Amino acid sequence: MNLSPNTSASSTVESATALEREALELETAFHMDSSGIEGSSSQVDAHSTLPTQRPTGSLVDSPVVDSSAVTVVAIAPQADASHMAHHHAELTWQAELKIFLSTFATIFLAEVGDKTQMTVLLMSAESKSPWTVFVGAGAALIATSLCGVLLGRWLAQRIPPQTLDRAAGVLLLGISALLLLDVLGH
Amino acid sequence: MNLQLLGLAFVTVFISELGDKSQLAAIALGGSSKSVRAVFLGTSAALVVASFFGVWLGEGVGHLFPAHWVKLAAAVGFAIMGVRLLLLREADNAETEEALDERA
Repeated sequence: MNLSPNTSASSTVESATALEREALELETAFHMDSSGIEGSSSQVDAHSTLPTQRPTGSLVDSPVVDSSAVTVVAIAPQADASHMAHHHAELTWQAELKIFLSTFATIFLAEVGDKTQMTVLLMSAESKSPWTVFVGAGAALIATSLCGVLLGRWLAQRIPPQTLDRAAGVLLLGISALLLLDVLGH
Repeated sequence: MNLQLLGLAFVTVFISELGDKSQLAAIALGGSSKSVRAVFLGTSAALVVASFFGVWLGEGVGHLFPAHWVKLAAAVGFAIMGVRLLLLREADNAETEEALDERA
C-alpha cells in the first residue's frame, strides 16, 4: 500500500544532488584559495574539510552523501552521472519490490471470489483436466494485465502527469467504491 | 494437453477480464506508477495466484476466504492507493518544485 518511498527517495536524490553541487563549489573555492599547492594534497584537504559542511541527520545514512562519493565527484565531475545512475537503480529495486507487493496484495484481494475466479473454478470442475484450464486462464490473465499496463503507459506518454495522477486516483477510488457496493449488496 | 479446452479457457477468461476492475487498476497503476514492470508483475502474479486457488481448492475456496472481509480489505487498499495518488503525489510535486527553486 506504500507508494511514497520511491517518490520521497527521488526527492532525497534531488537534495543529494544539491549537496554534491555545493561540495563541488566548495572544492572549486578551495582550489582558488590554495593556488600553488599540489592537486593531490588539496584533494586530501578537501576530503577532510567537506564532511563538516554536510548536515547531520537521516541524509548521512544515504550512500549518496558518503564522503568518498563526494570526493569522487569533486575530483572527476564526469563520474557524477554513472554514480547517480547506480544509486537510482538501487532505489528502484527496493521501490519496485514495494510497488510489486502493494499491487499484488490489492489485486489478489480484489480478485479472490470474483467472477473470473468463479469461471475458472467452474470450468476446471467441469473438465477432466483442471490444469489445462488453469494454464489457459493464467495466460489470459497475464495478457489482460499486460494490455492494461501498456495502455496505462501509453496514456502516461500523452497526458500530463498531474492529470494522469488525478485520473488514476479517481479510478482507484471508483474501484474501491465498486468493491464496497459489492460487499454491501450481499 | 487438450488444445480446445486451453483455447476456450483463454478466450473466456480474456473476455471476462477485459475492462474488469483489475484491468482498470492495472491501467491506473501502470500509468501513474514509476515502475511499469513492477505493476505488471504484481498484477499478473496476483491474478494467476488467485486463479490457482480457484483450481486447486475447488469449491472449498468460499469457506477459506470470507468474501466480505476480503473484498472490504481490497476496497480499503484501493482507497488508500487512490487517496495517496490524489493527495500525496501533489504534495511531493510541490516539494520537488521548492527544492528546484532553492537550487536555482
